[in-house]
Parts: sequence; structure tokens; C-alpha cells
Amino acid sequence: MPAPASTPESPAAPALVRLEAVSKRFGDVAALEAVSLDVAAGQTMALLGPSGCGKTTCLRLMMGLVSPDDGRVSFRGTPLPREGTALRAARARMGYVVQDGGLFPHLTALDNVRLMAHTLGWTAARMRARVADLAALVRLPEAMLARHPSELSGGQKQRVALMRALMLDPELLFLDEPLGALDPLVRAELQDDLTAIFARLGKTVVLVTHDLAEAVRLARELVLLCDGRIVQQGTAAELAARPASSFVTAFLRAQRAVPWAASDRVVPPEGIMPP
Amino acid sequence: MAMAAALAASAGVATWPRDARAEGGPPLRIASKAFTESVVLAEIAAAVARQAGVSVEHREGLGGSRVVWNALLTGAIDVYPEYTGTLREELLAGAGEAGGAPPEGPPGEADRALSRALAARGIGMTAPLGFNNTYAVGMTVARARSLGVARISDLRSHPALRFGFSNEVMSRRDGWPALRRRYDLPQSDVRGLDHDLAYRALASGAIDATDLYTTDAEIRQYGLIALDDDARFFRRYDAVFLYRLDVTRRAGAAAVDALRRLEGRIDARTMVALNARAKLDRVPETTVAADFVHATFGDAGAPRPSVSAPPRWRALFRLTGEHLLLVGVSLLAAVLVAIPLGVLAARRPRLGMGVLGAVGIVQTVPTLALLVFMIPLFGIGAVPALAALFVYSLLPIVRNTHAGLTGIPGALRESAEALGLPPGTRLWRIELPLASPSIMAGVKSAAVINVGTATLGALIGAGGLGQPIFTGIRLDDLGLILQGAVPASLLALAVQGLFGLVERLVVPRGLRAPRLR
Repeated sequence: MPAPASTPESPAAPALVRLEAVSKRFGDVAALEAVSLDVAAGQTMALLGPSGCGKTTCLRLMMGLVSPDDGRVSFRGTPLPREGTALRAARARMGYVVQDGGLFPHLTALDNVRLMAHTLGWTAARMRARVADLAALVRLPEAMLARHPSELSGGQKQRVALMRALMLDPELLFLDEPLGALDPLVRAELQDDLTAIFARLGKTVVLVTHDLAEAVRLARELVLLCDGRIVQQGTAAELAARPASSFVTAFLRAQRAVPWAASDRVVPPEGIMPP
Repeated sequence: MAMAAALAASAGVATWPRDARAEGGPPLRIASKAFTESVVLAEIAAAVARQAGVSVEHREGLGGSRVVWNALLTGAIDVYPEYTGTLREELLAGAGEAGGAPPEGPPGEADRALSRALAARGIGMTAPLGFNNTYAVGMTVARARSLGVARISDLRSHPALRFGFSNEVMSRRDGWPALRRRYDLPQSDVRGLDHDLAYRALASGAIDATDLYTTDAEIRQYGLIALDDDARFFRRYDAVFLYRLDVTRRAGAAAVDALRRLEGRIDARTMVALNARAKLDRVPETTVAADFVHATFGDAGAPRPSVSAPPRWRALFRLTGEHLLLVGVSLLAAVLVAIPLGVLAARRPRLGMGVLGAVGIVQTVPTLALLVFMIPLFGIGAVPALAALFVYSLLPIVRNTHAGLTGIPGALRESAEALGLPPGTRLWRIELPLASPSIMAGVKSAAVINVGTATLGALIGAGGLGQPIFTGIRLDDLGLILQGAVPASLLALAVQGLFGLVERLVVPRGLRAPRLR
């Protein structure tokens, strides 16, 4: 493993993913302007901001789904390859969950989860064991895995998507508005589960959301973007106590959020079972 | 693909032409154009050849002089009946030696010039068979009398008349354009019609005049009169047999000697009688020919070919088999080529536009023209038909593959990429299955269209259900037409149903519309 880059600005833990002065334009629109960001190993980070601020572009740059026009994207200290086997090898260490799951409709949930492992040649036994562990982790009955995605509820689909993302035990987990399509009760339930899972697995997590409360729930480090630039970065408490600009204050106030500590739990009302 | 084509060609050869496979030796391949007289003459040639111990194949009813002429030149056939006028005015025109100007002086002299020109191309010509089947402009006797028209020049004073000429006459150098110039005719409502259908149009009054051949059976049937050609426009069209000079090497001298026996043996009256028997009395051409040969030459110990037609259902079975072969082989080849092309088009948008454009342009070429284009490359028979059907099947499949692949939602494509799937696996396990409903729809569409288009293959000797359709048109026999058209329609429905089943196998369960329980 290459030695982590250390610069005077970098935090104590080595950066797992680094964006250096990255810019990206789509046509005339500048989605990101000279953005620099470090994601440390083990960190849970939420990219926040109004729509069009560039948070999703940021995420996709980190994954290598798009390439920057300027600047550099590094993964584990080396520049992220743009294509080919090297990029695919890097991707094997990343998990990706997208809004609505991104599950392939023509495969069963189980086949969705196993697809990459199967391609890499895992034995049936190893796959079976891993699937069982993951099903327990995401609290999904294994019987559900025999269904096709069209036969699953929204919450179940996201659990399957999470299993798929975790199948190869990646170090890094990317989530793009993962709970956006779910109704509030299911969303609350899943937020709990995700928090527990992140804590248990100790993975590095980068998630994109427009919902401040959810960001606070799921992540420790918040990165607030606006018009393609990072406005402020820090914990929810830091943002509330020392806002860098009036935009930050406005953003926090608009969401009427009270900074919660990550250890707070939401107890579902009596009688409501998890989906 | 080459194997499949060869298989189809041999199947086409084996099942197609009407023949009584006699003793050994490569068969003499005789062809005829798509009208009764040509078929009867070819059958007569076949009968005398068989009498001489030569085995014969007759590809009947090929569409147009150009098709048969090219087939003879390229060696796809050995013999066919032609007319000296057609050779001079159309097929050899512009070649200098024998084309163009009407032959002055004794006919023998002109014919010898023609023979020399043909020999330069490796073609031999028998002496005239004995009748001059020239063109005439014909009207019903009643209409001609009511207008006071007896000669072509009389037509000058009736500019509002409607003419319907055969498509050949419309486009030939010695056809309508030249006729109009010579007689200075003013008519503008002039259109091209199938020759056999033009008679019906004349009888019903939809047109006032059409082109006739002077030995047509319909002259008697519809009460027609051939207008007097007072400006001597129409040339002599003496009937002859054209044959490839290398036939003697292959089928032996017996074949050509047999043809020569017919020189001068058929006069105009005889020809009209033969035409009438075939067309009006509905006697099969094979029988008409056999009876003529028997009456003219006596039995001479040679066996008369069995003239009882095979039972209808067996013929239908064979024709349907040929048709399915045409459709199936071309479709299979198209699927193997078009799906990869569609994948390429989806992967590289700019190249993709070029591919889609090219395949789309081919689609606009009229079917019959495309079939004729294939003849110099593949000869006549099943192979050029397969090539044309293959080409026509490409567009629906390429376009639907492209649409199916580009229609995959971005989130799914991104997920596949994000997983780190290698491109091959991504294509095979994700993209093609997701595109399969669209692809299958394209294949089904191509298949059903092919069933219809394959009927045109009969015009270049490919067999199939088009054969009774075109023979029925030629013989004015609705029953025959239906014998081809109805099975073809049922076949199209069956193919559609079959692909519905195939879809259930190929399209993944998760993508099919949920069934109501």
C-alpha cells in the first residue's frame, strides 16, 4: 500500500480519498470550481447543500464515474485511474448505493447481491456465508432475496442495495441520497439501521443528501456546498456555533434543525414493525 | 453463413423448379419470363430436350427481360426463349453491331448480324421458331368502333384517352416514349400496369388502350382489336431460343440439337392456340407443351413426363418449407450481424449514427430492385433472395438493439459501472438482458415483414409461397393467387405467435409485465 501523502494541511489520519483543486464543467455550467476535500479513513462524511450545488458531482468524481476537467482525484494516495482494469480494481474497494437502489430488475435480489462476487469467482459456499452475514446485518429476511426487485418494498430494496454494496467488503461506501425515495417511517427506520451498521463496520462513508437532519444522523463530518464551492466543513455543532457565512446560517435555519449528537436514537412508536 | 447460404441454395435448386429429373448429367437450366407464352415455349423446349435424353430444370416466371438476360449472361441459366426485336432494341441496344436501326434487306441477313453479336458474348441463337409476336396497341372492338379508331395514327385526335401499358413498355427504349414520338401522340394519362391486369382494366373501361402482343390469348377472350401500325413502328419480334454456347460442353450436343428441331415449327396461329389453351382453358403449361411435342414429333420412344400435378397439400407443404427456409436463414444471419452492429452503434454514438443511417438507406431501396442488384453477385434462385432478405432484416434489429441499450436508465448503467463489472460481463449480464424486450420486438418485426417480402423472391426463381401468387397473376387465376396469399398470411401470424413464445424464453422474468392472477 503506497505511503499516504502528508502535507501540512492534511489531518492526522491519512486521506483515503483526496480531491485537489478539482473543477468540473458540464457545457457552460460549472458544477464544481477548484474544490479541495480530504476524506480520512474511518470518517463518516455528508455532502450537503441545495440542489445544483455540486454535491453529487463531487461524489461521482470520487468514484471515478466522471473525470475532472482540472485538478486531481486520488484514492489511497495514488491518482484514480480513468478507465480499465485499474479503475475496476479500485471500484472493488468501493460500495455504491444510489437513490431507489439501482438494482437490476431482471435479476433476483440474491443475484444482484452476488453478481460481482460471482464474476470474481467466489465459491458458492463463501458467497452463501457472506450473504447470510449481510442479511443479518441489514435485518432482511433471507427469503426476501429470492424475489425480484419489483416485488420488494422501497425499504427492502435499499437494504438489498446495501448488501450488494458491502458484498466485497469495501473500505469505502458511497451513498447518493439513499433514503430520498422512502416514506418517513421507513426512512427513520433505515436511518437507525444505517447508523448502527456504519458504527459496527467502521467503514469510511461519504453520503450525499439535501436533508440536514439525516446528514447529522448518519455522519459526523458535514461538508456544505453552494454553487460548486465548499462553504464550510465541520461537525454540526461547529457549523451552528461558528457559521462561515450567512448562507450557512440560512441553510441551518431553513431546515429547522437542532444539532443532534450521533449517539441519539429514535425509538419507533409502539406497535410499528420494521418493514 | 456461407454454409447456410449453400444449404439454402442447394435446397432451392433441389426443390424449386418443376422438373422430371431424367438420366444423369448436369441438368439443362431453362428459364422463362413472367408471361404465358414464354412459359409455354420454355416447356416445349424442356419437353424436346427430355425426349433427347437431357435432364432439365425450368425456372419459370422470372420477372422481366433484364433478369433473364443477365441470368443467361452470367451463366445462372442455359436457355430461354427471347424475341429478336427485344434483343435489337433493348438488350443489345447501344452495342453498335446489331442494335438500333430496323433491319433493311432480307431478314436472314439481319439475323446473321444478330447471331454474330450474340456469339461475341458467348450466346447462341436458334433460327426463328416461326412466328412474329410483335407489339400492338389494343382496344376493345366496341371502344375502337365508337371512337372511329382503326389505326394508331387515329389516336392523335383523341388526346383525353387513358392508356395503361405494361411496365416494360413504359421504360423500354423501344416502348412508349419512342411510340409517342413516332406518332406524335398527345395523351398524358399514361401509366404502367402489370400486363395481365391491364386486360381487366381494358375490359372494365378503366383504361382505353393497352399494349398487346399479337399472339396473346386475351385477344380472343376479351374481344380486342390490334390497331394498325401504319407508321410501321413496331419491329419484328421473331421468337427464338437463346442458349449459352458452352452448353454443348456440359449437357452435350443433344440439348442444342433438340432446340434446333423447333426452328420454324411454330407459326402464329399455333402459338395463339397454345396460349389460349394454357390461359383460357387453364390447362397446365407442361401438358400444353407435351401435347404439342407429341403431336408434332410423335412419341419417338421417349417417356412423356408425368403431368399430373402433385396433390395440392403436398405442393403447399413444399412451398411453405421453401418459404420458411428463406425467412429463417436470412433472419438468423441478420440477427448474428445486426445485434453486434446495434451494440457498436450504442457504444459509439457518432459511428452509431452512421450505421443506423446506412442501414436505413438500404431499407428505402425497392425490394424488386434490390433483388435484381443481387443477381450479378449471386445468380438467381434462393441465394440472392436470401441476401436481399438479410439486408432488409437489418434495420429493425439494429435500431431496436440500439434503442434498447440506450434506453437503459442512467442509474442502472451507473450501478453496473460502479460495481466494477468488466465491459464484457456488463454487456452480457446486464445491458443485453435489459435491452432484450426491445431487441426481441425488432426481431419479431423483421421476421413478420420477411414473410411478406419473401413472396417477391419468386420473381427471381427463389420459390416459396410467392410462386403460386405470381403464377396466379400470370394465369389470371384467383384461386392460385389465394393458394399462395392465404398460407403466407397464416405463416406471418404463426411467426408472430412463435416469437411471442421465444420472448417468454429470452426475456428475463423480472422484466416481463406482471401477469394478472
